[in-house]
Amino acid sequence: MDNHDTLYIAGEAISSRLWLGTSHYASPQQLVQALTQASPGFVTMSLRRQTAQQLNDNGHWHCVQQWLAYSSARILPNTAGCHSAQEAITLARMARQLFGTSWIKLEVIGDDYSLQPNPFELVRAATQLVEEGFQVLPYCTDDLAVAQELVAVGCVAVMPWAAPIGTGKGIMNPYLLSQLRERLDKTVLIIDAGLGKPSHAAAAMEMGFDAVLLNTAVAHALDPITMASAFAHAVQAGRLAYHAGCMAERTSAEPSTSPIDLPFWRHDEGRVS
Amino acid sequence: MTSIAIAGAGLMGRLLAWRLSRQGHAVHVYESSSADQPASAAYTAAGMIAPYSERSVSDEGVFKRGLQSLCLWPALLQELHTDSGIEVAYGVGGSLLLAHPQDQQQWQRLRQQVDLYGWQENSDFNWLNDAEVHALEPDLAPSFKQGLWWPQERHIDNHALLTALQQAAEQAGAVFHFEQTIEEDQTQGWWCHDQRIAEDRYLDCRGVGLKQSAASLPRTLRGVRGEVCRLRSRDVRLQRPVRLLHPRYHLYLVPKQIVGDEQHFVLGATEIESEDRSSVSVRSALELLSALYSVCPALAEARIDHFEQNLRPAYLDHCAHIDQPRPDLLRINGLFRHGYLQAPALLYELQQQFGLALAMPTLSMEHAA
Repeated sequence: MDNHDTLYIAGEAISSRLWLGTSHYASPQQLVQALTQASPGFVTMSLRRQTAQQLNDNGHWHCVQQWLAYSSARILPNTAGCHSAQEAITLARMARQLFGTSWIKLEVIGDDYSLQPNPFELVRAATQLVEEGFQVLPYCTDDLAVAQELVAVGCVAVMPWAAPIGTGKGIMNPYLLSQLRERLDKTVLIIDAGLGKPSHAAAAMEMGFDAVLLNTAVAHALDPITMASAFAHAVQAGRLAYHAGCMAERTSAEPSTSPIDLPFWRHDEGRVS
Repeated sequence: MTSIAIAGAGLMGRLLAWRLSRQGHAVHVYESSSADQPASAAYTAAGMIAPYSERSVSDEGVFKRGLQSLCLWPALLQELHTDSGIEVAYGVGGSLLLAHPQDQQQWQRLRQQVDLYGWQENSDFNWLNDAEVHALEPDLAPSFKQGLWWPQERHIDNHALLTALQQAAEQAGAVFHFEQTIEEDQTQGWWCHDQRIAEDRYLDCRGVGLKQSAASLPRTLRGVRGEVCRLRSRDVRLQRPVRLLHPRYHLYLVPKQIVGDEQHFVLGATEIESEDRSSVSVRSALELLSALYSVCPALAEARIDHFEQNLRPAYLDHCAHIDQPRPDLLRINGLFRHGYLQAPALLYELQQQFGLALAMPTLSMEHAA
C-alpha cells in the first residue's frame, strides 16, 4: 500500500505522515535520536523572535541540518510567537533566508492563554505570503469557514488543532473535525497541536486526516525517544485503519462466533446465552 | 614540579589553578577578559548545585556528577577557607519547586519522574502542602498551595568563590594573565602575543572561547544564550532557591548575600539557541520579571541592579566532556547550565582518569563509582 499512499502537497511527495516539532528536548542529541526513531515527513523549527536579530547559527540548526541531510524529512519553519500578520510575514521572510525554504507553517496567536490562532490576521498573512511565493501551511482552529477561506487564498494545506497547543488533550471536537474532513475532501488537512498520546494520533488518522504534527507529546514524555517510535507506529496504524475501513458501530452486542446450535427464534428474542 | 598553562579563568580554570598550585606546581592562567570585567559564564550563573531539579533536562551522567559534587563541595570550601581566609557562603536549605495553578499538570509529570528514577520521599524529596510551603518560605505568594522540596540541593555564593579561588591560587604561586588570549596553531601549540607558551601540561578551560581556536574539535561546541537579572530587596527574605515548574521556561530565583538590610537575588534564566551577546531583550526582561512578581508580589518593590547575558558552552548532549587531543593537553568544556553542579566531579575525574594530581577529597564508595 505504501507505494500508492504517498502524501503530496503542492506537487511534492512528503515522506511520512508524522511531522515533528523540535522544541523542549533535553539536548540536541536527544532531539536527533527522537527524530531518527520517528522518521518524520516534516521537522518544524521556529525562528525565535529573540534570535531574529542574529541570523548566524550557534550550531543548533547545523545539528538538525546534518540530520536532515541523511533523512528524507524536510524542514518546515514556523512563525511561532507572532501576534499580528505583519510580524508573521516578517518572520516568514527571515525564515526563508535562514532555512532556505519557502515552505512555512504560519502561526498567528490571538489569545495568550489558549494560544488560539487569530483567524483574521492569519488569513491576512496567508494571502500576502502566498503572493510572495511561499507554500503556506496555516495553523488554525476547527472552524470550517476559516479553513475554507485559507484554501481560497491559496494555502497548500490547512492545519486545524485537535486541542490547544501543549495541552495533550487529544481531539476535543470530533464532530467539527469530521465535518471539516468531509467538506474539504480535496484539501490536505493536518491535525496540528493538542495531541498527547499515540492513540490520539491514530484516531486522527482513522478519521482521514492526511498527517499529524506534534511536539510536546514526544518531547515531554519521560522517554522521548521511545515515544517518538510509538507515535510513528500509531500514525501508520491509523492510516492503515482509514484505508481498511473501520466497522460500523452497533448499539447491541453481536457475538463474534455465531451460536449455530440455537434456533432462530431464540436469536430474535435476544436471549442468546 | 610540573609547569602548567591554563587557558580560561572561569570556574574550571580557577579551580584547577588553585588545586594545582597548592600541590606546588607552577601555574599560569591566561584569560582573554579583563580582571575587573570578567566574561566567564561562571559569573553570570546563579551558582546552584541542583541535580534533582535539573534531572528532567540533563542525562544520568550529569545527575551522578551532581551527587558527587554535593559530596565534594563542603570539603573543598573548607580547604579554600583555610587557604584564602574567605568563607564562601554555601546554602544548605535545599531548593523549592513551585507551580502556578494553571500549570498543575506539571506535577503529574514530576510524579512520574520521581517514580522512574526511584527517588525516595523524605530523603531525596518532600511533598509540601500549603502550610509547609509557607513555613519554609514565608514571603512567597499565598497562591502556591503545594510544593516540592529537594532538601539535599545546595547553592553557592559564586562571586565570592571565584574571588577566593584566584586569591588562594595566587597565594600558592599561580600567576593570572588577564586580557591575554591564547591562540592555537595547527599542532595545537599555544601562543600568546606571538610568544610560544612552553609548559609541561596544558589545560584548556575556555568555554565558548574555544570556538575561536584554530584547532579542529572532536565535538560540536555551541554557545547558548542565557539572560539573568540581579536585584535586591529590603522586604523579602528567601532561605533557598525557588524554581517555577513551567512547560516552557526554567525559571529560578536564587537568594544571595545580605548586605546591610538588603538581600541580593539572581533571577534567571532564559535559554536561547543563539550566540548573540547583545543586551537582554525587552521580551526576556518581561518574562523574567513577571515570573518574579508571580512568585513573590512583594518583590515588585525590589531594586534592579542590572540585567546580564552570557553564553553557556554546550556540547550536543549537554554533558561536559574531557578530551585529550595530545598527551600533554586536556580540554574540559561543555559545562552548559551545570557548571557548579559538575565542576568538582570533573576535578575528581581529571585526577582518577587523567592522572592530574589534585589531592581531591575522598568520595564515598557509593559516589566514587
